[in-house]
Amino acid sequence: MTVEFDSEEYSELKLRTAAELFKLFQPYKKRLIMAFICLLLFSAATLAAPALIGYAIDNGLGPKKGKVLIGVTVILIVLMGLAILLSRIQSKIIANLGEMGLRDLRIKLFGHIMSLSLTFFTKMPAGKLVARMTSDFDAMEDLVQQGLVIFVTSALLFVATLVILAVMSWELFLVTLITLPPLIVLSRWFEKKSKAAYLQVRERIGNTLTSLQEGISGVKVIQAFGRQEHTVASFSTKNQAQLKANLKAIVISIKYFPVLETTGVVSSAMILGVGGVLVHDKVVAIGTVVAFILYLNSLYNPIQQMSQLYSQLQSAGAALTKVHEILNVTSDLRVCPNPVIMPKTGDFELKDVIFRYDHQLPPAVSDINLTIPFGDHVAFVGPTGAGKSTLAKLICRFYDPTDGSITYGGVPLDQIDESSIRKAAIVVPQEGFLFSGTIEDNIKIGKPEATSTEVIEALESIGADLLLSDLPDGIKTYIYERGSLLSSGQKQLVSLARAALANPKVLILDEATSNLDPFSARIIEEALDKLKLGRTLIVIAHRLNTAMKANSIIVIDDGQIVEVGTHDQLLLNQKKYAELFSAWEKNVA
Amino acid sequence: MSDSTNKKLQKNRKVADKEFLRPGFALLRNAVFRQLKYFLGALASGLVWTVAKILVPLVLEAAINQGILRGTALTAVKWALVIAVIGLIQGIASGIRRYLAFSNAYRIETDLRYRLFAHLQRLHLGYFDKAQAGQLMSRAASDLEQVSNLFVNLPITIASVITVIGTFAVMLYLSPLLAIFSVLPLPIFFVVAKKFTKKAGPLSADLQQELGKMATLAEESIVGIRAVKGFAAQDETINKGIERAEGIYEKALKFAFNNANFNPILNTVPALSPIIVLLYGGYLVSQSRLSVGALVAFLSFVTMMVGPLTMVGFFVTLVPRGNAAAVRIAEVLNQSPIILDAHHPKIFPSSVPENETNLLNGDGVSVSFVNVSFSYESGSRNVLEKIDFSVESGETVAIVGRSGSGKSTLVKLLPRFYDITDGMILINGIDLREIKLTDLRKNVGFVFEDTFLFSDTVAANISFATPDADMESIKASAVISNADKFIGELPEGYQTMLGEKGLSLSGGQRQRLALARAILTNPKILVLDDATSAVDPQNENEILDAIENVSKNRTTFIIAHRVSSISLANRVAFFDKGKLIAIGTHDELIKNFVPYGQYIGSLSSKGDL
Repeated sequence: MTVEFDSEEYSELKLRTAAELFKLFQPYKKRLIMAFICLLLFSAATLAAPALIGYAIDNGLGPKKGKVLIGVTVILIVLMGLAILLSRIQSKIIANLGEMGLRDLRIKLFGHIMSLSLTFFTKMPAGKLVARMTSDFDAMEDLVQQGLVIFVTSALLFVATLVILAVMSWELFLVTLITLPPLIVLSRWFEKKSKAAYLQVRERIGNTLTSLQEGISGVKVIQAFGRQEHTVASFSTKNQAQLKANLKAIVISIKYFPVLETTGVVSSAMILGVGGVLVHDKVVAIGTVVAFILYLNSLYNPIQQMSQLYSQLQSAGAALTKVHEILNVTSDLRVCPNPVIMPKTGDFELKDVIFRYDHQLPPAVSDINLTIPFGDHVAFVGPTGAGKSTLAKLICRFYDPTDGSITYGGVPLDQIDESSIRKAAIVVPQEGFLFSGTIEDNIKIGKPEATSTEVIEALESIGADLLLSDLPDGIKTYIYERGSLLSSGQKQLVSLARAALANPKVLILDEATSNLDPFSARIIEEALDKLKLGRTLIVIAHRLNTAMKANSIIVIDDGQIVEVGTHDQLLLNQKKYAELFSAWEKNVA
Repeated sequence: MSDSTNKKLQKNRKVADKEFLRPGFALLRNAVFRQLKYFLGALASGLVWTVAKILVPLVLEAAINQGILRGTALTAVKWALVIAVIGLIQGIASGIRRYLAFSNAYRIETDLRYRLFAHLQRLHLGYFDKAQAGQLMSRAASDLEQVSNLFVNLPITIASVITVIGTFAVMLYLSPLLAIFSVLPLPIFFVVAKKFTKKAGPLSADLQQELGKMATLAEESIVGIRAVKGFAAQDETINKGIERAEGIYEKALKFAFNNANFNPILNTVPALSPIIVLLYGGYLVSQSRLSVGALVAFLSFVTMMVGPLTMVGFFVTLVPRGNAAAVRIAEVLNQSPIILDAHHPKIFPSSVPENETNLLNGDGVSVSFVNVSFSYESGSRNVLEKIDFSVESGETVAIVGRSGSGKSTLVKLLPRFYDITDGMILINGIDLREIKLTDLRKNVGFVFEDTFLFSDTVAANISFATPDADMESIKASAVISNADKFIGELPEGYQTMLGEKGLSLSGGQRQRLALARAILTNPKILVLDDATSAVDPQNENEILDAIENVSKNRTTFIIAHRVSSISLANRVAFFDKGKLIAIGTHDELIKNFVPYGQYIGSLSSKGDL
């Protein structure tokens, strides 16, 4: 999985980005052509205005020429009305297309992020991903909302003026061309430098938002230890780094645009000088030189406009590149060309399973050989950090094993459609995570089509209805991600109700009851007696009273299975489990 | 409805509109003053640039007349040199203007972002119970971007206005009548601009709000990715994402269409001026009241106004969104922190000198809860009701009770995460609200049940509260909390990065780091909020030993669900539904208080489960 890119890879990435951009607008080709036609007509109307005024000055002034003057005025006003109309149509088409493109890209990126494996999220801070989803889109949206139309119009006017100039006098046009080679060299330098600079800006925005996000997520700890100043200072470092990157981009741009601007004026001066000489040598007519210089003038405005907007364009380009960095990350779960649906029932078979989080790290689990029959109730027991959680995550395919195989009902997990595994195997994590929304919304996340009655039934089935009954609006109570309305035990009950509602074939409780007080834990354990029927239940627990009820207890130490058996068998063994059990007994006694 | 009430209503609405916008404008004005130097520089160079831009065509015209039509080849070359020099000045001014305008805007943006974050860190914890990280991030990104956009264009807009006024003054001098005619389209311009702003204001606010919603969804589903995947909520979450993206699309389109309706008019209206002057001037010429030359000269001045006026029109279209964004930022900045230092805050009362560093030999203070009641929001039901008990210096008290009985809330009052609604909490006889907040928090070591680790090294996470701590004491605290052994097995030991590009630790490992973090601060009051829930039984025994050592002379509050932890305490405070229903030693309560006996019975019920 590649998360970072070297600067050498930019050009390749740029090509890919351009291709992706093209693909994005493919479905809207017709409207795009329509907008372009409007734009052409609009530019023509704009270019015609100075010519008409010039004509009126030459032919419409003086006595008895009122008709010409009024005629030209009428034409000008009609042209203006037309320009307003065309510009409206064209702006709406472009805005619509741009926003549609952004909407599609947003959906694509969000869907992609959600489909990536957990490994990705341990390597990528949340703030950076949020920056990709928000700030990068802002940069693109700025371009769509105000920049794009002006930019395209200016470019069009620029090209049109160039054509007019070439037609008018090729000798003088050639003189203007002298300035071209240095400009091309400068432009290439600028393109390269500013691309890198704006990519750095995007990168730094990600860092700032990461720091911001951590500052909010960790606010409890920060305040508890009175470390606000330190945290603000560390945020400020990121914030200043972002400013520096922005200033760097600006410094690059002021080495380019003013030169461009000056070159424009200087080329006018050159035409004047050379034209003056040529006129006196009678090579070119006076009128041509005059007209040429006047039109050369209208070359400036588009350049000005474009240079105003160029940073916006570069910024949007860099943002798109960053978004594609994420889109190009592939899930490190193996891709199967023809995945099958998760079998309705089946035994888990783990053969010689080894798993490393990173190739540099020692294996988190190794030499795992294990069969979990369908409908069995299994407990994973062992010291913290022994690999219990990792093993559970392999069983529900949050990760693929580095070596060895895991099958369900005889089908290797990596040949089963991932979302069908997700639906069939529910994992309840240690911390009950809540999303902003009502309690009902939170319980329904695994089964959005469920009714309120079903939600209440799910709560009742785990005996949690009483615990939630003293909330102001019952299941319609609104809760927040960091809210303290619910105690951590209550959060975990909401979490377990989610699992009960989803009614999965495989249920994994990853230390899900350790945050509960004994009362609630007992309610849950009674509920588990009901919940385990007709499904495979895997429980990871430090509270051995939860573990000892399992049909089979798997003791894991140092990434390996050291003992398997029932509670009574393992006690007789007098090994690791017996050790753990006596320690636990000492605690509760 | 009568006419007068109608007018009144309209007036009220106008006032309401202004009230709504005020915090935004105040914020923007304030931001300009904080960076006034750069702003004025940008304005000055913008003026030079605009004038040079206008000058070039004028000089060109003169050069054509003087150099080509009349003079020799040499005169043309001379004029060419003059133009080149003006071009150079224009280029230099343009560079300076660009740098100052952009850097000014970026500085304002950076400054505001800093203030936003610093302010958030000052806010009381209760604010974060309802704050959505995504919304706050959206303000620090999307909204600030809009504000910044406004400031990039502000100096050049003001320069444009000055240019227009200057040009108008010259025109007034040349021909007052024609000058008046040339500004006839301006009222149209203002009416259109006003109408646009009125419509665009709410549309921009909607759009920014929608962007914030997307950010909230993204932040929550990324932080909660384990829950999303674990509960098979991936499809549902993606559907929500589609919904949000559609929401943005809808609002952005409304905003853009409004722009499309007004922008072309705002862009075109200034171009009406030359036409009006041409028509009226042509009439004057035909009446022989004006010479052709004078009209042509006048026209070139009118044309000069068009560019700057168009710039003003462009700026007008930026204002509503920038302002809506500023309002959203001001919303956070105007949130006043509730938990503040007293006017003359006292230092934390303590009997032992500051430089006492022996981690195992702490020293406590007495803590008294005097009729303490607390509710999270005024008016809502009390989570704690008339809590009244005292803890002696160096005593360890176990806070026991069912989930939701108010245990966690009680200990959160000690570092003033929340201020009590009624009653008093005294530390060595001093109301804790009178103690300097930073001092108070430094002396209350808190271990949370959910451990937050920062993207930093293991050592930095342990020494988070005490950045000056040397490696020796970091190690010592890790040894005490029984974390030293597993840290030693990490790839880079104490220097292993956590979080970003790091490996994930198990729940028990995280809790032990949090314990080490709190121990290292050598606090007078130690609070353990169910801090050993994710630790395996063997490790728990070792940690319990550690806690026993550490808490020996410190005032310690332990929230616990296990008899082993409870038995560490000198006394037990038993809570039910927000009330303290019994307090005493474990043995006393078992003997004399039946509900406690039952509760403890349920804890040791391993046999029947």
